[in-house]
Amino acid sequence: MMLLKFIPTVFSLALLSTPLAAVELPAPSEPEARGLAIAVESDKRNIGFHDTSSEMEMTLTNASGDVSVRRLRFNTLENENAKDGDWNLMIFDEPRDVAGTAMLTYAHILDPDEQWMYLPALKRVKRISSVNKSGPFMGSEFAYEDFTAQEYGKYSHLWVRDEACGDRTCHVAERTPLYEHSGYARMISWTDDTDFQVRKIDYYDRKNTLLKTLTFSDYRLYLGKYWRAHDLYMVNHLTKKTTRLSWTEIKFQTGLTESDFSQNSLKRAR
Amino acid sequence: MIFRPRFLLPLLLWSTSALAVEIDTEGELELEYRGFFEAPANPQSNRAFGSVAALLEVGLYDEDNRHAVIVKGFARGDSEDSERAHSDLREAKYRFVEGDFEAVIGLDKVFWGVTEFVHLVDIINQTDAAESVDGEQKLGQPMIRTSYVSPYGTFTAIYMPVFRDRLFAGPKGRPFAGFAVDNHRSFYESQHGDRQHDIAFRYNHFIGVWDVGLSYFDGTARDPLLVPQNIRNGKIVPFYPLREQISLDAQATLGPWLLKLEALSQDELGERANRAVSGVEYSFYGLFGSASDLGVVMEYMWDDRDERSPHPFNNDIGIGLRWTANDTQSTTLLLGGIIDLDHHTTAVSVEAERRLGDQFKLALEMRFQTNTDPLDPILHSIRDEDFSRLRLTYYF
Repeated sequence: MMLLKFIPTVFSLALLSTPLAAVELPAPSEPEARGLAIAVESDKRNIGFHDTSSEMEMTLTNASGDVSVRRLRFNTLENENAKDGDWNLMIFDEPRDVAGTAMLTYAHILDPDEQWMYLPALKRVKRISSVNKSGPFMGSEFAYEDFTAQEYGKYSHLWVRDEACGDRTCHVAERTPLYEHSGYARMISWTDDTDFQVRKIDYYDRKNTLLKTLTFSDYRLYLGKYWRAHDLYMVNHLTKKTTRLSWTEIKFQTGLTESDFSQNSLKRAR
Repeated sequence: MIFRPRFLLPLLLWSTSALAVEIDTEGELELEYRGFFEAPANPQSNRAFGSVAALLEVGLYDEDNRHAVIVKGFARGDSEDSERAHSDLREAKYRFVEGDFEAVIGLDKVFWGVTEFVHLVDIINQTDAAESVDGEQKLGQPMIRTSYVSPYGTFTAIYMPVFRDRLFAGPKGRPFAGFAVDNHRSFYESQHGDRQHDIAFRYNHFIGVWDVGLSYFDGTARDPLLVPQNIRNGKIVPFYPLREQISLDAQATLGPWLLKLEALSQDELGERANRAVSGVEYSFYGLFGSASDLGVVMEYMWDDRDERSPHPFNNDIGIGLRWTANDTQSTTLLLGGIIDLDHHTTAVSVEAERRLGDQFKLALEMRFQTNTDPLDPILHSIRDEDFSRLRLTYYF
């Protein structure tokens, strides 16, 4: 019942029946249109997932090889309004001194997100500024903006070339953030031409120097149509530090509703 | 004043008999050293205090987190101050959730408010003043609480059948304000003593950049009046008047700016008093191109009773700097000062924290007074009580 509501467009129904149908992209002579169409197609492949509940392990390694591990859980609710961002509840399990700390985000495409932090020792819910897009997330090589959903409306797109990536062919495109306070001048993304999943992103800092590379691997298919990368590996080329995100569990359509994304539920998060 | 949560037993039995019960255990062990820079006013006291504390939380949850039983106990031992050595059930509650409705019965903690230097509107829990001087540590409050989240905001009602006295450090404890407070006896305005039935209501909502809360409280005030006339056996017996209070807390989140206000109007012993704290917080992200952040907080505290107010924050400015390294070890540095605009007495605090390895945290704190004016009786009484505090905490 719930599901049907979230398969709204004729297009995605068509996609369901013929998932491998070739996608018509604008010609290389129109690089902007072609770049945008790739991102839109990638976005469409995720429509209708409704909600996910997942667990993740984050391994931080510095240049001298010291390792520290964080554990987090994420609950995500797809926004029925495709022109707006998803809702997200993030719960910290490790390190133990921050266990129980939780963050609730109502994401938007270009407007600032609404964000609340729950501090369990004080039982305090604090509305926090969402300006801090480029800051490191939990001391890792991921910035906050690398975590938020990559809706195509957040960037302008420019197709660059098609090239081989592993055993697939990838569309290489340049994205420029349209939202405020990004730490990046631009990104170069590699999106495969069959499943339209991102395989690699190069991040260029505000001085337009190559800063980081993120590689997506271990893609697994859920409910027959939703791809999720289980391994995300970020390398910082300047500091030589790395961060690996390993998703240990991803559950789809667990019955989460808007009630699970209130400030009250933030206090109950576990 | 012992509250026995008798209702817990059948619930525990119910929980364990259900099939899918998840049990969560977490806690912390803390070693603490406090060193005072001046000799104690009480010759039996000391300059150095050693202490150990433990916090243990056990939670039982059903599969979808609808039913939960949570118990959180705290205990401290202290080398010098036998009254700071104490234990408390911070939480011992059963929680039920059905969609947007939540009910809690038992001991729990509730926080209200938005500001940093004082928590004016936060009135549900009593302060554990033996534990720390910043007033951030609270005793578990017996309550029945229900709340409902609607599209028009969240409505909360709280019934509190038992009042809890503030816990003070003992005669050998420090910081020592020149007198000891009796922790075993109190005077109450309420004819029911500590069984005055307190009630509170709250409405809170967020609209765009605004987060707003409106609260009402009717019951025994959490702040005791400590008057010298009430000295018995060398200790002041605290007096708890009845209080009716309405309050507003609001925050506007505008990019890197947070604008904050807490205001209340209270009726206590036939006198109406108005208090407010308001200020701004600004964050510099990625300071000088680094990964670190700097937050600057400035708040003004006001009480229309001026010098007659029973607390020191009647015409004061608080200024704080919070530096966050955003490194792997979560290093933070907090510098705060409260300046009394009438007497220029300045209270300063420095707090530094850093995680060691994955499960330890080291925290250093220093608190001192400068410019202490004899006409500022509250802070003048602790002018020779500057101290530093070092804590090593193990989390599991």
